[in-house]
Amino acid sequence: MSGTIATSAVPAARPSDDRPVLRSPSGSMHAALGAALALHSGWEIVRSYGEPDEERKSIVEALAIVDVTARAKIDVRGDLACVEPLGAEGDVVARLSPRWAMIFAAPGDIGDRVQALQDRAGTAAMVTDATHLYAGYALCGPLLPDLLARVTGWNPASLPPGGATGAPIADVRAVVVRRETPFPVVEVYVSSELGRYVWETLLGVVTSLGGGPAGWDALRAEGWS
Amino acid sequence: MSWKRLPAAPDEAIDRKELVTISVDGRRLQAFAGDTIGSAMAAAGITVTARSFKYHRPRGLFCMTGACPNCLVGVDGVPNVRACTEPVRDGMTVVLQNAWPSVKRDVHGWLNTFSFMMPPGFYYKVFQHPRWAWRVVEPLIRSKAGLGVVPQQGDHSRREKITLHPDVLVVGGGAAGLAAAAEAARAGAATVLLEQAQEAGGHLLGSGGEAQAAELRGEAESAGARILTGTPAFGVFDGPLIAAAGPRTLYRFRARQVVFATGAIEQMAVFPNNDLPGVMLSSASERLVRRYRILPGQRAVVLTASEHGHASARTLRDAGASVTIVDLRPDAPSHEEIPVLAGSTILRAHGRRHVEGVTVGAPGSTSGRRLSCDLVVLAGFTAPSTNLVAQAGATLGFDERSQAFLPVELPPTVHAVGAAAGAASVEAAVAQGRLAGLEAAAASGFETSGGAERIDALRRAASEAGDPVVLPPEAASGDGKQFACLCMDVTNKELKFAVREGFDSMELLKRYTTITMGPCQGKACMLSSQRLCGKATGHALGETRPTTARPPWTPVELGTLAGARLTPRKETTIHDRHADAGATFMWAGDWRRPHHYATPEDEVAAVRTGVGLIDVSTLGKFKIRGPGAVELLERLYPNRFEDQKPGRVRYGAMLNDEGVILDDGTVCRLSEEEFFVTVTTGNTAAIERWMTWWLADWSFDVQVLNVTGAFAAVNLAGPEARGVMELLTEGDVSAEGFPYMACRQMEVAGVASIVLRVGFVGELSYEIHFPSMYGQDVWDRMMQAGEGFGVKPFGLEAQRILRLEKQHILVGQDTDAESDPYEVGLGWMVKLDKPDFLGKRSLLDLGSSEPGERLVGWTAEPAIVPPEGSSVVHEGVWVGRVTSARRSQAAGKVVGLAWVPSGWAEDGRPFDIQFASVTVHARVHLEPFYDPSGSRLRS
Repeated sequence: MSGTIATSAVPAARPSDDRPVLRSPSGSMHAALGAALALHSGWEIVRSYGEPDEERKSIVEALAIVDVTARAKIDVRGDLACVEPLGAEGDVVARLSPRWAMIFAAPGDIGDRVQALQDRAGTAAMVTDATHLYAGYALCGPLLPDLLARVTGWNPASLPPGGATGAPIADVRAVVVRRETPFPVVEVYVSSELGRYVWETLLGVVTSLGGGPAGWDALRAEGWS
Repeated sequence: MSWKRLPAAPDEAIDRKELVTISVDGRRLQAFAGDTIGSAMAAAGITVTARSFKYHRPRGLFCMTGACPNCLVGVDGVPNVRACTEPVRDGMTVVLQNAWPSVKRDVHGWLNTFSFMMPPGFYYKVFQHPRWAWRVVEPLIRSKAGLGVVPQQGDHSRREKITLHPDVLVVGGGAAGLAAAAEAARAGAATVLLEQAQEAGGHLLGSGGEAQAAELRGEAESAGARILTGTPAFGVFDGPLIAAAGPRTLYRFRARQVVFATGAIEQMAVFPNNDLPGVMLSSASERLVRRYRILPGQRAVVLTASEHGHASARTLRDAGASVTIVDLRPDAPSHEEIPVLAGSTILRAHGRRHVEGVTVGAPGSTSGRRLSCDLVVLAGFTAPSTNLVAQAGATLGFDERSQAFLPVELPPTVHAVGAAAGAASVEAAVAQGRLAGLEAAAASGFETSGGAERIDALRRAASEAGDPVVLPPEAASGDGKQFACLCMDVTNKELKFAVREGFDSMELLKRYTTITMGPCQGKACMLSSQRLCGKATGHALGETRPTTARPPWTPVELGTLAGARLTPRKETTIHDRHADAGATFMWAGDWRRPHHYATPEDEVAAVRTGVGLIDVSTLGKFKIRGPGAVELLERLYPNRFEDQKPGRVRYGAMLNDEGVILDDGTVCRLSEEEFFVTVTTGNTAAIERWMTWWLADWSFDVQVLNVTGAFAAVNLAGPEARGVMELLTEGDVSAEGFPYMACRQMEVAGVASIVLRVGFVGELSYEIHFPSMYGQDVWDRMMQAGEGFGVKPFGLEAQRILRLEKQHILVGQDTDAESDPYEVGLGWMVKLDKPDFLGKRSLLDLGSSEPGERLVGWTAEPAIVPPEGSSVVHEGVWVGRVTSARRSQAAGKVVGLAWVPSGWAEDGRPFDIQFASVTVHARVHLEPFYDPSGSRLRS
């Protein structure tokens, strides 16, 4: 992840230019869990829930859920060949079908990138900033298969590291990305209006399996970006 | 009757150091950890465990494997739990079922005497005249017959639904299943084994094979197989999807390969009083003696036709019982210490509440020698458990040697092994299991290194042929009830009677007499039913196929089937602000939306006189972009779009092929090739499918993207709305610079937004769409900017009143599956001179005729607002219906919309609305009830 995280107390302070703050749909739920919030690239993100070491342990040894809605998302539909290469360094490119790809990048303004991609594609593809379209949650830890078995009928083993697909999660449509990380991570992106429901549902199952919520600090410390 | 614990033995399943106390019908029983409820009751001398379904006959432990209905009990409020397999838990409360006041002395036992009044299908035959008789008698019959009582209180404890995708799924944890799992897992396949009992081992447990079971279990586990005990597979569905019920968990398996090792089920023999307590299968007597160390009788008679029965007899003798073997085989082997009556069978059992003796004689004879006994063991008459593999698509064929139907053709991903496939011995079953495990792993893409020599040896062992199976006579002669089906109390005599009535096949008998339809689903009675059916119809067993295999093979709680309940709900990114403002929420489709904050009337007043703010993020939103965008819209809508200028909005309605209104909304032209389209909240998904489907057909050069979640949206409405907007944006929001039905892309509250001048609520309005994650801050800033103008948030109810005052329709509420644009006053948008659009042909047909009915406005001054759906009547006859109705402060009366005959669409025409017993006098009102000229929304 690029950029610097500015820590603040709850609630996060406004950026100096007084621009509106970007918040995940489940933002208030994090606050209710005692999250330490920070502003990063205009987003209010969760640094931790008070126990970063415990959160790292959950990620590596058990199960954790992290709200990664702040990641930038670009939706590309149409002829993907004309916009190759889709991603920049550090991006995750999820090819969901021969004519649909999504690019996930570090939080930040991606207007220029979207425009550049659209210019390259011309009318052969539609490139859209989909950052606001999806809420995203990273599910991490060795108990990930147990979690997924409880929230989806889709076979997670069918998705290789680095792969992406559309799959039902908690009975709603989701884009699922399997990351190439030292520990098991699956990122689940759902339409933003379902964000609160999905967070609540996944957190319930994570907790029942002995895991818990984690912040960006713990996730980054374990090598996720 | 006194059944007591035997001294400890190495293979016992109980832990004598850990005491467990349970209550059975109010009586406290001391048991050991590892006991089942059934064994605990047996140790306490409770030999009558239930009363039968129909005749209330006493029943006792029969199978100890969960394969019969004889020990169904209520446990902690849950009915129909199988006592023989349910482990005891300290403090559990057990209630014995279907008897009053107790199973020992059940007053309804008189029904047994009057069984002649209850022939098969009696409910079609008796008490039919006079006609009221059945209505009186049926509840009485129902109260006397049945199983447990359904709990009145819901069980809201958490259940789980788990979906797993192993490479190899093994169903059944006996010798064959364990061997299959061991081989598949050893090859590297992700392997799961399902076992219905609390311990894997199958028939090895309780028959002296405990050590072998432990060895196979260890082999499978150390190879990496996951063994799920207490988890019976109960059904095979398309896919194949295999469903299993674990403790408070519904498992769904989608495996690449499935090995069915479901074993065989011991069957009953049919003779008079074969259901008396004390008559049991050898699986029960052996488990009681070996696993729970209980001797179920002092004087036993063992009926058999195989070595299995002799082994069971030895077990009983070694435990201290005196035993007589009755062997059907004329050349049965003899024993020094156990008398053997060769070439004999049991002709009848004697006793009232427990077996006291049997009459033994040659098969087919009517008289014989009476033996006194308190235990009758039916040993070694088995039927392969093929139900699940048949559900998986296996074809069954009759096998003469085993006198059973076995799988002969299997789908490519399915294997059948062990006793379920006719294995003649444990060794053959293990060999079959190993071969199947290797094949399944190989078919899943794993390398197997069995070695040719080993494979050959396994194949030889797997095909070992056993002795021909000898079955007892289909039934005995003589008086007394001979039960073919214990679950439903169906006797040999009743089956013969039904066949004489013409129900002369297994499927017909099943439906008429209910054999095999009870809780055991044919486990304990399929073979006897087939044989009796065959005998009555003159067919051999091989010509009498078992009934169709259907789920559930084992009972499963409805709560488990339902699993964890997930109710997806959609909430806007501004949801928290509504909650903070004290909103009362309501469901609007999948969405949770504010119904109101204060009172709807106050909110309406704020919009009419000042300014209000409503969250309309739920509107469906689409970006349509590309050279073919105009062409697509021209086809989807009856409106014209080619002449729409960028920066303008058009209201449109989508029609289906029949010209019926599907949806309505706005179409904003952002640029030459880009449109922003809104649709109604509840129709978003359907419209997305609709557009995608047609786009695939038409192949226009255009992309459609559902951006509903990407944009939050609010409607700032009211005469003061412009003042608030001026504080929020530097853009031109004046009437001239930003007129009605225009759209602009501008920064509002610091965020790039798409703003529409539309007027659903009939006032000066700005509908602002902006990136959704800014939702809360933008809402806050708007409320802050509106403070000086008295801005109030308003909810869905206020919006409904406001739009109704303008006679703006709600598609789906004011329209139905037949409403076309002409009928609802939207004929102005239909451009029939366009080359083509969806519904054009139908509308051309409609255009030449007057609509049969019209949607019109109406006013009335009743005390009660007529509910939506109230009838419009003419001379007492229904002619239409009310679709919307609200009390309007602006109109000073009740206003609404209604479907009426088209001839009534005249201003001021009176008509009547009826609901319940109330009649409301209303008048047609064709113009909007508020601001009919539209000057306010255009201001």
